[in-house]
Order: sequence, then C-alpha cells, then structure tokens
Amino acid sequence: MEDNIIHVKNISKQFKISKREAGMKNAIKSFFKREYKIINALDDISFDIKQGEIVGYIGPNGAGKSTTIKIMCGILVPTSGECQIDGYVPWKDRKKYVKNIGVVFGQRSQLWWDVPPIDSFELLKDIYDIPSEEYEKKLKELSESLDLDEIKNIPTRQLSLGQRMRCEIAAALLHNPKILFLDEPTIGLDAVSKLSLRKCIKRINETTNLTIILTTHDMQDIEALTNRIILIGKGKILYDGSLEQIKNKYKDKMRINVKFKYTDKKIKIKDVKILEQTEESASLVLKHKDENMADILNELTNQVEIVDLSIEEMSTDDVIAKLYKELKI
Amino acid sequence: MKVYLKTILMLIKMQLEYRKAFIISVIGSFLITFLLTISVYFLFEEFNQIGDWTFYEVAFLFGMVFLNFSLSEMFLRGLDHFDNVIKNGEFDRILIRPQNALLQSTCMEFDFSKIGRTVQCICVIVIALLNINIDWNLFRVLVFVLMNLGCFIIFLGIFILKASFCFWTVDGLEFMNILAEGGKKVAQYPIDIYAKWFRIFFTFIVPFGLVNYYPVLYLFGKVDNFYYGFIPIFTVIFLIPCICVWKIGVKHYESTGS
Repeated sequence: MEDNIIHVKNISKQFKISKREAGMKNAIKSFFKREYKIINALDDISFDIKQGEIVGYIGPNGAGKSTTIKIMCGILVPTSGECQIDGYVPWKDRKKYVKNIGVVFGQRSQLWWDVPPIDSFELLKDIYDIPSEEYEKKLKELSESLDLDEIKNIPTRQLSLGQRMRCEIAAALLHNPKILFLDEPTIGLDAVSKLSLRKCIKRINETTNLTIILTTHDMQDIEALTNRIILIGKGKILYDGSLEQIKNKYKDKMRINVKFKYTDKKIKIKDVKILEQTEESASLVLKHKDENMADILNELTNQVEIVDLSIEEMSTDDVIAKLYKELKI
Repeated sequence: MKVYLKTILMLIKMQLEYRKAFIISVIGSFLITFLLTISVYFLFEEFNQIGDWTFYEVAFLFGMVFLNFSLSEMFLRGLDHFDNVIKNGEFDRILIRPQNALLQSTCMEFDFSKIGRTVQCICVIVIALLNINIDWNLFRVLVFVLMNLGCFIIFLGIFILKASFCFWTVDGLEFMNILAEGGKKVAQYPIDIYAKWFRIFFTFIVPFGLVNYYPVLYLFGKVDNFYYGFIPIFTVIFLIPCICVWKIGVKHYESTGS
C-alpha cells in the first residue's frame, strides 16, 4: 500500500442529462418540463498504481476515460468512492494537490498562443510559485531531454504540432510533479514526431521515476511505453494487467492466406483450421502457436498449386478491436 | 496579484503582435464614446437641464460611469467572455492550477484597446470638474476616489455574476447584459430623475446609486452631511452574493463537468 502513489477505490460517477426527442413540439415541451436521464459514466472503478509506473488507460470513445482522468485531476467530484493520490484527495485541497500533478491534454494547448513557449514557461513559474534556482535547473534538464533549445524562442503558433507537444510536456513538468497525466499526446502527430515523442517520454520516466498515466487510441504508444494496461468500457474496468497477456489470449495464431490454381479438392492439414476456401483461394489458421511453419507449407504445396501466399500476424490494433467486439463495448 | 499583473503584461505583449488590429480597435473604441458624449450634449441643448442637474454635472457622471466600465472591460475581459472559457474547456485547465479560479478566469483575456475610451472618459471628467464649482479639499478628493472604486466594484460584481451564469448555461447571457449595459445607461444620470421603485432597485439591489448619487450630492455641495461621502464603501457588500453565486457555480461545474 505504501508504494502505491495512486489508490482509486469503488469510484462511481453519474451524470444527469436532459433528454429530448426530436421535433418542435418536443422542443417546446422540454422547455417547460425537462426530463432527465441518469447515466453511469463510471461504475465501481478501482485500481492502484505504483510510483514510477507507466500505465496505459485505454477504452473506446465514451467509455469513461476522460471522466476518470478528470476525477484524478480534481476537476470532477465523483458521486461515490474514494481516491487517494500522493496522500491527497484530489477534489479537496485542490490548490495544494495540483502542485503534485502535471497534465497534458493532447487536444488543448496550455501555452499562450502568440508568444514563444519560454514566455509561457516564465508565467507558469509564477503560477506554480517555483523558486528561480529550481526553475532554471528543471528547464535545463527538460530542454535536454525534450530537445527544446531551438524551439523555445519561436512563437507557439508557428511551431509544428510535434514541436508544440514537446513544449506542452515541458510546461506540465516544470513544477516537478510526481504524476503526469497524458491525454492522447500523440494525436495528429506524424510518424517521426510520434517516435521521438515516445522516446522522450520513456527517457523522462526512466531518469526521474515519474509516474505516468497515458490515455491513447494508438496501441503503438502503449507498446512502446508500457506493459500495463487498464481497459475500461461502459464505465467498468474490464481488464487490468499486461498487454502481452491479452495479446496472447486474443491473438489468432498465424494466419495464412493462399491463392492457388483452380481445384475443387478440399485442403486438409493436421492441426490447421481452414477458415474459408473457394476454388482459387483459402485462409488457414494454425491451431497451435508453435507449429512448424515449414511442415505446413510443405504439406500445402503437396495439395495445391500455389500462386501467391502471405502470412500475417495480427497487429495489436486488431487484437484490441477484437477484444472490444468480444466484450461488446 | 503578482500572477495577475504578469499575465496581463503577457496578454498586452500578445495584442501588440497584431499592430493593425490593435490600432483600429483603439480608434474604434474612442469614436464610439465620442459619439455618446456628443449625444449627451445635444440632449442638453434641448432641455438645458435635467432635474436639478446641469450639463457638466451629468457629464461628470457620464464620464465616471463610462471610465469604470471601460476599465472593467479592459481588466475583467476574461469574466466578460467567460462563456468561451467554459465552451472550449479551458476551465479544466484553470482548475488544475494552484491559483484562485476566479482570479485565473479574470486573467484569461485582457482588452488593452479600450485604452482609447478610457483616455476620453478621463478628459470628459476633467472638463466637467473644471466647470463645476466644487469646494475641493483632501476629503473631497478621497470621496472622488471612493466613488470610482465603488463604481468599478459594481461592474466587477456584475461581471462575476455574468460569468457565474455560464456554469449553468452559455445561452441566454443577454439577460446578464441587461444588468451591465442597462445599469451603465441608467447610472449616467442621477437616480433622482427616475421613478421610486427604480431608485430602490438601483440603491439596494444593483447599487449604482451608492456611487453616482449620494456621494455626488456631497461632492457638489448639494448636501453638507459628510457621511454621504463614505457611502461608496458599501458597494463591497454587493460583491458578497456575487462571489457566493460564483462558488456555487464552480461546485456545480465540478459535479457535472459540462
């Protein structure tokens, strides 16, 4: 319990939303008498996170990811449940608590648009009341790990998205928080920027033992940064554990797509499942993972005259999509 | 406070980046007030005086109310445009910073271009004062300062109310503009020219009377009771319910996240 920096227990959050049917008549009716519908955005969420851990918080749109993050940042108050982060209850003692966290919303900037990031940093120094010495030290450290030296004096509006995101992360870390919330940090970035941003995040986590909560739809982010994922759907936690495990569980074993010259003979190979077969093509799946591929291909060439053949492994995206489908979220 | 000043400096820096837009809006705000001043003048051409009040006396009230309105538009712009802060989710950002939420919201915007109007209002006040026979002493100077502070505080209260309203709905803000714009219009003239219920409303509910009537009577020597000079201090009471509404609004936001 002591080394858990984040402790969330039985958190639920309900929203009251007004419901209205289409049409002018209903619009007038709802003007006078609103009918409300209660939705459970979060339903009995519990998890613990250790100091220095990176956790991927994933789930489809509308699953309750942002609500959880907002509760952990102290922006929202949950309907019930408890939450202790670094000894604080986030929504009480807001001003003291938020000094311990840094937040980056990928879709929203915290930098002042028309001035260079360095000016924003200076202002944040005052907002967070950071002593000059500490500020200089931290700024230098971040400039190195995030490669800011060339960009911090250019007006923010002229920076590319990738450059800006690096500055956003620096801005969130200036006051030396213990926990960093990253909400879709790689959204809209090109491949090169994504890679370099991931590298930066990893480096900061390793050198400063920063705890990072990452929400993303990009599975490569998760693969590059963390092994622990918490999967949420319809307000409930559906999985909390390693990505590897879930991959192994849901991954189809190797899948072989083959095209061949016309034949009406059915393919039959031991330990291989035929998913579908037409007169000129077929998809096969290995029943066991450790099957010898060479033997199977050998067998296949004996039975049909191969024109084209491809072997594919399911990507993590496919695994997650399959998982969502299976869990009906 | 230091944070507020630094933020404002930063916002001024940002506005100066767009030089042309800045100059145009300064000139624009100057012209609008100029036309209004002229309109008061023509009104008096027609009537000579309103109640017991001469042109310069009314011009003084006009100048004072507009001066403080301009200043509040300049310094409290963030509250005036608070619906944007709510709409684009910036309020989340405010809540994760270790500073007072109301102060931070005020800092969201700063409209330096209102300087054109401000300078003009100061001119109107100076010209008016030169033409009114006032028995100046240190106390009357204090009364003058208190009147202006009180006037600014009333606008501050109205702007806080207007901003708080956004926690429930970002539509229907026009209703709040009635208070700011209407109050401003009403307060240009001494409230004794209005009907009684109107006077009561603007003394006890939205207390413009506390700055543009009672202390003015003393300043212009229409009454001798110097207690009248302290009356603007009571405008602070108006802030209490306004800040309460704001606090309730923030609570509401925290439980709905809308």
